[in-house]
Amino acid sequence: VRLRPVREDDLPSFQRWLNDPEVQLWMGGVTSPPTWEDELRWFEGIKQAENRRVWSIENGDERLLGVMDLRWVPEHKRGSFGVFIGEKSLWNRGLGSDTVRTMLSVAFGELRLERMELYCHAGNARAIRCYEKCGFRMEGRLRRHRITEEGPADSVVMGLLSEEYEAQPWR
Amino acid sequence: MVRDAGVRARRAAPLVGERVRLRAVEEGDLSLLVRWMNDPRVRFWLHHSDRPDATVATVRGRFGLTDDGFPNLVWMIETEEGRPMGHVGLLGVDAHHKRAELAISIGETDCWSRGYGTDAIRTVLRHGFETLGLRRIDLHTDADNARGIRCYEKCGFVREGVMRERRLRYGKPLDMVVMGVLRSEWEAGQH
Repeated sequence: VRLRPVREDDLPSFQRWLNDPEVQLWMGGVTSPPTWEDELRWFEGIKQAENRRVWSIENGDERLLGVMDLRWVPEHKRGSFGVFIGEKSLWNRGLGSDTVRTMLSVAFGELRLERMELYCHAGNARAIRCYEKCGFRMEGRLRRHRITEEGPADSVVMGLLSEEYEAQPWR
Repeated sequence: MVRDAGVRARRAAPLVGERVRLRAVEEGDLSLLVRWMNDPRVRFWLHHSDRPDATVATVRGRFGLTDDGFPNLVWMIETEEGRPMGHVGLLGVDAHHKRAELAISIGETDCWSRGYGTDAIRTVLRHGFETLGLRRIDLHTDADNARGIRCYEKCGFVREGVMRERRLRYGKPLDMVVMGVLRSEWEAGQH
């Protein structure tokens, strides 16, 4: 995959994906199907945000796949991220793992962060497996942390330290 | 009686505990907040320990006096006689997930270990669950903050995880504990 800056002409795909209940179920930060105005507001917001980098994910054929959203807290050298592959036909092909690894090389390389963390729907086994493959370790389970279409659900919190990242076999 | 619509309320309503009173932060409190945050004994435990010294300008923004869209509710904690001793907040109040994060600091160190913090937290939990309609309140605290963790447990919080080396204190990595209390648990604990 390739990560590149988000363009305005990406937004219709994002809106379409996030209106799909099967995609939205796993996303704690998207709590209602976004309107076109929501998309434009989000796009303006990410252009101005400090300590945040948002990329569109593409494959080798420049086909748009999803979004990677990285934020960090400089004084604690800590970052967090959210990611989704919106094209469901491309799930289970390792594209998410490739995206996370590409982002980690920025977070621990260029940005010199010491820790990356994430919160994830506890029932999202596919995502958790992907994060574990990338080196993340389970650190806790937040009970009934989110409300989904299917009711309250736990979140897990996972973390990866820079020295653990350096020791990853895939690096 | 739970009124979910109240989650949208942004102005901190005055609250009365057993021994403390809580009221919204005002412009006149800022210099006191600055003094507390820059006191090394207080700052040691603050998540912002490694930022530059607090000033009235930085504190004004952090306590929401500049921004109508502020997602936090913050109260000054006072004794019954009206002496301010610290602040407590519900941060990131989320109307969809019906949850918020608790933050508290007792700035007057002669008021530590006297139960004021416990009383303030119980008062805020009652408000969060009963009036705001929250379902869950959580917090992150330093793993070596034994006094704080004991107080949170007394108030009903349950340890849910340890986030390794989550913050820096004066440049050194420090684990943080994440704790949460659910409305159902809090209701079961009320007599």
